[in-house]
Amino acid sequence: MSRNLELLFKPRSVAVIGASRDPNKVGHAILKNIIESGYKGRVYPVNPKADSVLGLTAYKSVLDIPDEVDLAVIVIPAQNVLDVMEECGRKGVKFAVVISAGFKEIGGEGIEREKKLVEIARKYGIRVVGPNCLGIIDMHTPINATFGPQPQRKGGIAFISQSGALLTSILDWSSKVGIGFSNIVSLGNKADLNETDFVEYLGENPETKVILLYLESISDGRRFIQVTSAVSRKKPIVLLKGGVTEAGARAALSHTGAMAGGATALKAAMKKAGVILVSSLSELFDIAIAFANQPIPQGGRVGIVTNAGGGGVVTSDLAILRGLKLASLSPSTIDVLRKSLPPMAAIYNPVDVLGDARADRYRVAIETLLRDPNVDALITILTPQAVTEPEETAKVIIEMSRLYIEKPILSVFIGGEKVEKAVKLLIDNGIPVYDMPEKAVAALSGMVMYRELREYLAKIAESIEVYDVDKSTALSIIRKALQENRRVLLESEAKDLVKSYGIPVAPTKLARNEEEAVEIANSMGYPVVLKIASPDITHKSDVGGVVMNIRSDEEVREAFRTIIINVRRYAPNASIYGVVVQKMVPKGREVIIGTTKDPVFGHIIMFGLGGVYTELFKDVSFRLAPLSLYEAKEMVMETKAYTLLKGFRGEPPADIPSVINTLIRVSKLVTDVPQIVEMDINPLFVYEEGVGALAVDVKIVVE
Amino acid sequence: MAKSVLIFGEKGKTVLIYGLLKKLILEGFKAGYYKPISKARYRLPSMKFVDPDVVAIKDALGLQEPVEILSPVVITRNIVELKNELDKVKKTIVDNYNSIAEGKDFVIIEGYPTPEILSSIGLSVADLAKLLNSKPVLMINAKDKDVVDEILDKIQLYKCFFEFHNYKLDGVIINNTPIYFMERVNDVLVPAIKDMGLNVYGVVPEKPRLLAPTVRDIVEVLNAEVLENKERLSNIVEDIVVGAMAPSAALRWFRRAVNAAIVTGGDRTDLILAALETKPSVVILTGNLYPDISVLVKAKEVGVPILLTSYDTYTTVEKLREVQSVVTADSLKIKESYIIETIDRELDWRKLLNIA
Repeated sequence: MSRNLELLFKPRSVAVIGASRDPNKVGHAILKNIIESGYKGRVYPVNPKADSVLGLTAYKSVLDIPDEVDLAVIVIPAQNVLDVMEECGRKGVKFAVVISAGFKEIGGEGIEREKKLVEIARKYGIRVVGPNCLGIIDMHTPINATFGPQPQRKGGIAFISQSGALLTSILDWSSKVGIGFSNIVSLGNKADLNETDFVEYLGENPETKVILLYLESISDGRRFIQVTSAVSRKKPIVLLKGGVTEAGARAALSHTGAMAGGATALKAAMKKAGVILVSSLSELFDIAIAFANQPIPQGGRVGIVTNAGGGGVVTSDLAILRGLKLASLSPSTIDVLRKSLPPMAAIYNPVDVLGDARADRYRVAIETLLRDPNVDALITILTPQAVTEPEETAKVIIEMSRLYIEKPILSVFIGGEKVEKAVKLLIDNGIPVYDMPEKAVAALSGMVMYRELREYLAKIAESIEVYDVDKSTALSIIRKALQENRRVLLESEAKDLVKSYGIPVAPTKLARNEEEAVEIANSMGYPVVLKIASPDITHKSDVGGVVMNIRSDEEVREAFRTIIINVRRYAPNASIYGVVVQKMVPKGREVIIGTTKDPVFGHIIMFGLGGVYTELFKDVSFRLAPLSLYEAKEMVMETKAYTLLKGFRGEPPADIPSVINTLIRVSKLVTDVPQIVEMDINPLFVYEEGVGALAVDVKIVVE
Repeated sequence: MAKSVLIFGEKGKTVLIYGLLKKLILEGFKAGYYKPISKARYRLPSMKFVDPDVVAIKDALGLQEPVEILSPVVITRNIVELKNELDKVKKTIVDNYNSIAEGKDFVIIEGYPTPEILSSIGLSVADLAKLLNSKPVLMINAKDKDVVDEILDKIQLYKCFFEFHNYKLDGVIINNTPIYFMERVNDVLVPAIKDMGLNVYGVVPEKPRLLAPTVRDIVEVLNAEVLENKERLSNIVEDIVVGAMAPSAALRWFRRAVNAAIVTGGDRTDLILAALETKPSVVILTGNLYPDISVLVKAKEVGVPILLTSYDTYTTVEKLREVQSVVTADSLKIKESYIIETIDRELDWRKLLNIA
């Protein structure tokens, strides 16, 4: 199946099935939009009850059209859509935009209908947008195959939205604020084409400079990351994800399963994908405006020019909060500013050209800062005072922007009527202009983030291969558990499994009775630990299921009995498989390495301080699998655990390479064996440099 | 004449008796079921008290005899008064037995859990076995013993009880044996039981699935509305998980449960979606809170039935616990092959029924 959507956005001919003569009907609005958007191709209304619609000859059926049809826009009641799709298939239609509602979103019969819609589409090789969507727009073709408002300005912003209603209002608003679009896509139910297909196409589309996404769900997380990580090296992708609450991330942080997931998984995934994640609609567009016309900054050092001291202070604070740096100006810049500006002016960043500044004073300040190699980007703030020249100043900014094309300039014109003309001038000349400083700061921090993400993508591109693994052993352990109707592996099984992937473990064996326990203990050598083996018990010590430091046969027997009695008392419904015997190992520095499988993005890997400290300090880092060496190192280094491992207060350094090695192997394991949905190595004892690490307890849940 | 075996004692009788009967029928024998003395646990719409075990077996096997024949004495409250009509009661028990045994090769009689029931009026389990000329076999539930060796003492007590009534206890079945008891039972206890002069017809390992209800059973006990996947009510429910945490934490619990019923409020959309992700046997929405449409769409996609009940979560879980201890015709039929497999593998059923 071809992924090229060229003929969807640039069709040679369009049929509007359900084109209506009634101006109140959607089928009328769409045809009208296509015509009024200036579409140059051939348009065929299909309506069995009319001879012509909006002056065009109408056809009874798509089959009657005496021409090839690249795109069919279907806007008829849901119950007739399947028949029409069959006809489109027989006609050889290449793309269908199904506007009609009444599919999956209504449940019940709608689900069946959507399934059949996809079947028909697959049968004939038609690619489908929707159903239950607003349509698509390409401003450069031009074609507006939606029933929304007609956008006024063409530009480089592509907007893909899962909400149709939101799209309508954005289209309406965009004309006012001067946003220029390249493409607009309303995803609808995503029965066939989804966000990833469009990102892939728009990534190649030369008319698109930045891709905006509003998504409530991501259809295929893995493919999404694969495609976006490639596209975001070429152009920025900004995502606003609906339905993300931090509640999940704040939930009891004792295990990987609870810590990752939801917001955490999304963040880890977008980092890997190079996608800029924003949390508000205004941020989405503020960033887009900046990307659409300005170059990507070389760094995060921002210069600020203002005619209001307050504006400068507020902007500085916001910039710092957002992780930007205030550029420290070079001596020569300061020198020039001191000579050119009035003595009262602030010549250190933020540069205050004072309330009485006219355009010429702005010019000196702006140009001097842009010349300074310590400045990566500029924010110009204007507040209309008595002698301020908004339009002249706007012209200066435009001129400077053309002269210094490698540095982005963002402007903040705070005011109403007094700045209206100037704002329009800036918009028309491709200078991003905002009415409040926080918007400019958000936009600039988005741009800096993009540059960093792009560099990051290059760093993590290098994959690392691990060869000495035994996948068949791992699979056979899982198979056995599933055959016994268990999703939770016993500790002995979990350890054997990670061991098969080269992760060293404390020797552990399952004993089904006292004698067996004694035998195992003897073969291992004392001291040993006995722990309950039950898939139903997660917190073994809470139910009296652990006895440590056992040193004789008699103590083994005693411990075996004690554990069984305790567990039967405190967890009467748990099914008990016996007791595992584990060799006591010397204590090391405790860390946790875990993984949980996110339903959308796949495995998230976690690293942090282990044992009881996990819950106390919540000091953890997350990355999406598979891990590159760079990511594994970074995961360790960004936690406090790193300080501990490096050697805290005279302690010798721990074996950090063995931790990184374990992370890489865990990543390899879950990539090879995706049946593992949850895993915790807690604690992993890390010994002194060169001595290695040992998994002391391992928990695994499979599906 | 039909051979008869009287199986009495602790938990797990009905399921294994069903398996034995089914096995006999599959082997081409004619087999009947009888439960002369039972406890009233359920009241029919006709206000008549019945034992649900009897109804379950009757329905699952499609037995022709009416419930009154299969289960003549249903103990509700009073016992002593029965003494006044003891002869009549005995006659009914024998008559019903004869009518069931008519034309049959085997009759399996299900006894009351305790041997002493009705012994004060002279109708203990030993009297009953004597009356019906039946072979008494004791069922022991190994799981509920703190110390596994208690099994021997218990058997000794029952043996003496029979001797006192001048009848011989024939043998035992040890049921629901946890893995960690298995070796002790096989190596030490079974030989000791044989030394007592008793047969051991089987040591059945712990199998939670034998007692698991179906979703259909749950629909009934909760009086629930099935919102989606009506055709999937035969799923077996082996585990109960209450969804009351944040979705990302909940996933952790849902993933661990096998064939689970996940219970949560209908308004917890995020949680229900997370639950559906793990493909449980059923999702039960409590408090009569109708879910979001996206829940039903997802349920349809993954094929998990969604139930809506007006009970609150606590009551729902209590009722689920109850239904786990009640055998129903539906669950017997659904689990039939599993039960028969258990009989084949774990019970010496030929010896139990004296089939050469």
